[in-house]
Amino acid sequence: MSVGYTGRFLVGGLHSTNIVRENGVRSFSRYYSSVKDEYQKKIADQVKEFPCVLYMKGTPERPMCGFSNTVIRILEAEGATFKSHNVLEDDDLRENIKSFSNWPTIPQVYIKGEFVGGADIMMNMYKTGELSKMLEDAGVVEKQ
Amino acid sequence: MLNSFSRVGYRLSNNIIYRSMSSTNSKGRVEQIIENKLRDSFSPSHLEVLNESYMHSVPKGSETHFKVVVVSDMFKGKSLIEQHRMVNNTLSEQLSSGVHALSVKTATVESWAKNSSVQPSPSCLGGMKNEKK
Repeated sequence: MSVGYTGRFLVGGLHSTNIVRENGVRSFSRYYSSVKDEYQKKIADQVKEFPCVLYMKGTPERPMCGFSNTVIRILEAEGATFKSHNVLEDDDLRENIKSFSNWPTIPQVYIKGEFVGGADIMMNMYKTGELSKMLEDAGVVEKQ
Repeated sequence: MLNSFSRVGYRLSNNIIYRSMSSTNSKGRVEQIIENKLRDSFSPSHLEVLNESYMHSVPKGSETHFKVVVVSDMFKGKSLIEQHRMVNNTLSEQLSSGVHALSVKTATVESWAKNSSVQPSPSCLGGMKNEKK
C-alpha cells in the first residue's frame, strides 16, 4: 500500500551484480540481510507515522483473513482512525514485521509506535475497556 | 514393540473422541507436538489444542491453523502480551515451519475458574488462496 517497491528493487538490482560476480551463497545472504535491514528501518519509521498503525491481510474495505477482519471491526467499534498496511502485497514486509515485533502472526497493531498485540489481545483489551483508554490517550478517537 | 502397540491404542482411542469434535478424523503429528510442548512447558491444569485448519482454504488434513487454550499458574503476575509471548516462544519452531495461524487463550487457574469462555475463531475470508506460502 504505502510501502513502495522502488527501494527494494534498487537494492535487489545492486546486489544481483554481486550474485553474478561473487560466490553464490555469500552474495545471496548479503542480498537478504540488506533487504532485512532496509525493512527493519522502514517499519521502525512506519509504526511512528501515525498514532495507530495496523499490519493486516487485505485492506480495511476488504480484509482477507478473519483475524484481520476482527481487528478492523474492533477499531471501527472504537471509532478509531488508523493507518493500515497490507502484508499480502509485500512478502518482505510480511516476514519482516514478524521479526520486528518478535510476534509470529498477523494482524499486528501498534499504538504510539509500540506493538500492542494481534487479534486475541485486541479482543481482550476491547472487552476490558483498556483499548478505549489507550486509543483515547493516543488521540485517535473523539473523547466521549 | 510393546511401546508401539500402546501408542496405536492411544491414537485409536483419541480418534473416537476427536471424530465427533472436528472434521479431521485423527490427531495430527503437529497437533500432538504442540500438545506435548505446551504440557511440558506450562504443566497446565487445563489444555486444549484445536486444529482449526478445516475452517480455512487449505487441503484436507492440513495442520496450519490452531487454537490453544492454556490454563497455568505460570502466567500469574504476567501481562497478557507476556503470557502470549511465552506460548509463542514455546511453539516458535512450529510457527516458523508450517503453522500459519495460532490463536492463543491463556488464563491462570483462578481466572479460568471465574471465566472459562473462549472466543470462537473468526470465519475464513479466503486469504490463504492469495498467499504464496
